[in-house]
Amino acid sequence: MIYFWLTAGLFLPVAIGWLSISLLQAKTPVLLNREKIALSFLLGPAAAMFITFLAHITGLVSLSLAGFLSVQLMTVLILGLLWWFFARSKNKAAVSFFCRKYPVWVNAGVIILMVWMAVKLAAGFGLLTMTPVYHDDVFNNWNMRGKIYYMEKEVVLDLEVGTQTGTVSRLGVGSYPPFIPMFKAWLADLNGDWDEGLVNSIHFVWYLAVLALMYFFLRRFMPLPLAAFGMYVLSSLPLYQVHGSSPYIDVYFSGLLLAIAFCLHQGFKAENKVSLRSWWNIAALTTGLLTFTKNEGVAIYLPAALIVIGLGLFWRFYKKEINLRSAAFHLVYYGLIAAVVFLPWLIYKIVNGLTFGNAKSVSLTDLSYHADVLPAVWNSTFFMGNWLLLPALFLILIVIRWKQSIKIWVPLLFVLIAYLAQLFIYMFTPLATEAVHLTGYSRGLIQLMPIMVFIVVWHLNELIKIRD
Amino acid sequence: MSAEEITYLDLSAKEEQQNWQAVNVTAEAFSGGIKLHSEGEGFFIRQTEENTPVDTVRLVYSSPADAKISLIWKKAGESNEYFQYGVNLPAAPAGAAYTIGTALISDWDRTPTAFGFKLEPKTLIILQQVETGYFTLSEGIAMRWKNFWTFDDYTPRTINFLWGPQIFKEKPDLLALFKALPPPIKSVNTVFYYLLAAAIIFSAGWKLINRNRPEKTRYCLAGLSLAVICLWVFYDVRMGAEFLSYFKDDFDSYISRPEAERSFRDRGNFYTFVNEVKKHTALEPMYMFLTSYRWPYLGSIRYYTYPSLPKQIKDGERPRLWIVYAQKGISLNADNQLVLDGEVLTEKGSVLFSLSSEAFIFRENP
Repeated sequence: MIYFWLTAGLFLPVAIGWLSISLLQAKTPVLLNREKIALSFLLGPAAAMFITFLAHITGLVSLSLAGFLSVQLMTVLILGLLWWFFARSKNKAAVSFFCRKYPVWVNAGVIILMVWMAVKLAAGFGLLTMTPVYHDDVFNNWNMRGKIYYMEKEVVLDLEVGTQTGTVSRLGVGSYPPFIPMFKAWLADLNGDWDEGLVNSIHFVWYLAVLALMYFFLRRFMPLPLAAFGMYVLSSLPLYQVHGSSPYIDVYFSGLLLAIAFCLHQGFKAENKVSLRSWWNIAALTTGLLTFTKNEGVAIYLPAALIVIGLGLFWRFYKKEINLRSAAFHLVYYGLIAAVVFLPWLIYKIVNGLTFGNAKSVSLTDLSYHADVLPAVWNSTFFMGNWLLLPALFLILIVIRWKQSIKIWVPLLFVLIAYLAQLFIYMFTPLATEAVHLTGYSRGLIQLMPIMVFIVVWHLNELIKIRD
Repeated sequence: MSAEEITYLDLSAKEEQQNWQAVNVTAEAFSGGIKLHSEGEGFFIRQTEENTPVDTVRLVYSSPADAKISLIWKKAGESNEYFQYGVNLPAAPAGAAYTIGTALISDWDRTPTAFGFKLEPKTLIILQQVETGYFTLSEGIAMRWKNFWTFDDYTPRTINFLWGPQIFKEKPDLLALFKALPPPIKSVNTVFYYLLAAAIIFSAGWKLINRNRPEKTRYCLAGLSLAVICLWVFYDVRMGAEFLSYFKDDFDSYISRPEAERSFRDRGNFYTFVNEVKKHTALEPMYMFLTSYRWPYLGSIRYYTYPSLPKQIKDGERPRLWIVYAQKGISLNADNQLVLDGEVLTEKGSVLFSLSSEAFIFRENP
């Protein structure tokens, strides 16, 4: 019964996500309805909480049930009217699918893997909702802040956390974006009480949404069995599986990154400017919402997205496919849409003296080389149980099949830029301990896993070449 | 020891005693073994039989106090350099046994030319017997297969990384793996990479031979892909089974149990205790929290009792409600006052709830 409030709590945010995506596509839809719905489960809650945040910090609402509900209803109304008058369209995204009959053993194999995946997902749901809060980042950050917001009915920056008492600080977790704790407070407000199972269950919904997105995106390029296999591959990554069953945010974050990389890629492949605009509008809003989810959104992924777009546009300019003015327009337009979210959040951080690192702030003036990082990274990436064989397969495929890899240069470049940025931080800043002691490095990789799986399965499809 | 072939070096026998060399160590031989006493750093060394493999070393010993020693060994082909691996021998009466599995020793040479022990200064131990064992090929394979299917527990590190299946011959202490950085892991990934490399080399060779017959090349690549998929699924079955074991363990010890019988992972009855604590902190703005392990209990209890906040003695607050969990040295004196390591902390009061002598709720009388 308590999970009824999960459904209720998602209804308006998902509607906000659906309407936002519809408006961004205007009359040129590029996403299929099912893709739009899956992405709405990720974007909608973030967008809903961002708008609520703005209303809250300007004194319009508190984080009470009435506050959350009024903002969401008003947002749905405004977006709904805008959609009705400006973006409603009978157009549908044009996608052709690969269809053929497969041998019985292929279908049987896929069904068995789906059943195995479902068994593990069920166990993961049990771990997430039936066990007490166990990990540091949950009782010191995500759930702690959610509970504080719920009880105080406001965003609280100065927190007493960790193994210290008697002192409060807005550095560290106090500086984290408030989206996730706000959504947990919203669910608690609906329920009338803080319930661990309820506030943690949203993470399972997001996990399913990311898996669904992976399937839908792969399905555009390959037959159903292989697309389903790709979804299975993502769910089978052991550490990804653990995080999908924990109230951590990296799996959700990875879904946003997958959407950004995919939409950027599709934008560059688009046949006309209008379709490109639709794809990149969605990517831009997702990039903005990234910055409101985790601090890495600002430090690593916003720059990575802009670099990828910049390089791609420069290449087109170099090949004389577009002029300089057009290239600059696209880049600035992307940045402006992302800035709709990023800028208010940035101003709020600066005004309130919040930091930009993770739990430990990072200063670029404190750089020195840490020689013990690379051996730890090597071990952790290739010789532990976190990722099965994915990093090795990824590396082998992009090296041996480098020519084919150019066809998917966008997600590949995005992953490489993001990974190298993370590696730089570990190798040259005091965050080196997070790599050497294995406390942070693999969790950074979680965020890139869907894109890496996408690339590997894409190559697998090219190797097998099952076509109509 | 489970190793099939064991060599017993009886240090109570004169013939065996003569095989050992003591350097900077006073070695007194007697009928019960050899008494070793070091003033400074000392060594007790033995040459090994040529090419005799050593996978485990087991000491039968006694020691009046905890002793820090090191297993030392000389590698074949190395000149005079001895490698070492630190061991903490607990104090023990005669006949105690301590097994050193070489699985976690990254520099270990399976056929050392000499081995022995380094004693730290002021160390006194009696060695009765040293046993060396090794696994035959078939037993080594069997042990590796068994260890492949040995699952790790769900611990605080599980959210950061997973060791994955290890193919040590001895079952590794996964907690102890972190003694050295980088950890001396023997991941099954190495085996998988060899298989992957073999499949790729075979496919490349096949493609080269049949470069003028594209239909054969295509089937080869499809076959390679299928082989990789099978390897992946096999590895996933292993890691998926470990994941399911997390849920099973939690279901058996926590989810399915009545409140009073619940135990959760390495936190024991903490959550049962917290559920009782919440009833008492519900109307209190703060409470004193005593624990010998601020991590993880302080952050965790703060979360569960919010808005009631835990305080420590150093904070200078004096709430009347005291929550004690896993606090060593705590007791109640005859006047019903809390006493910690001999220091009286509170006025008279009463215990409202108790799980054990180190976990209870105490309230000072008004």
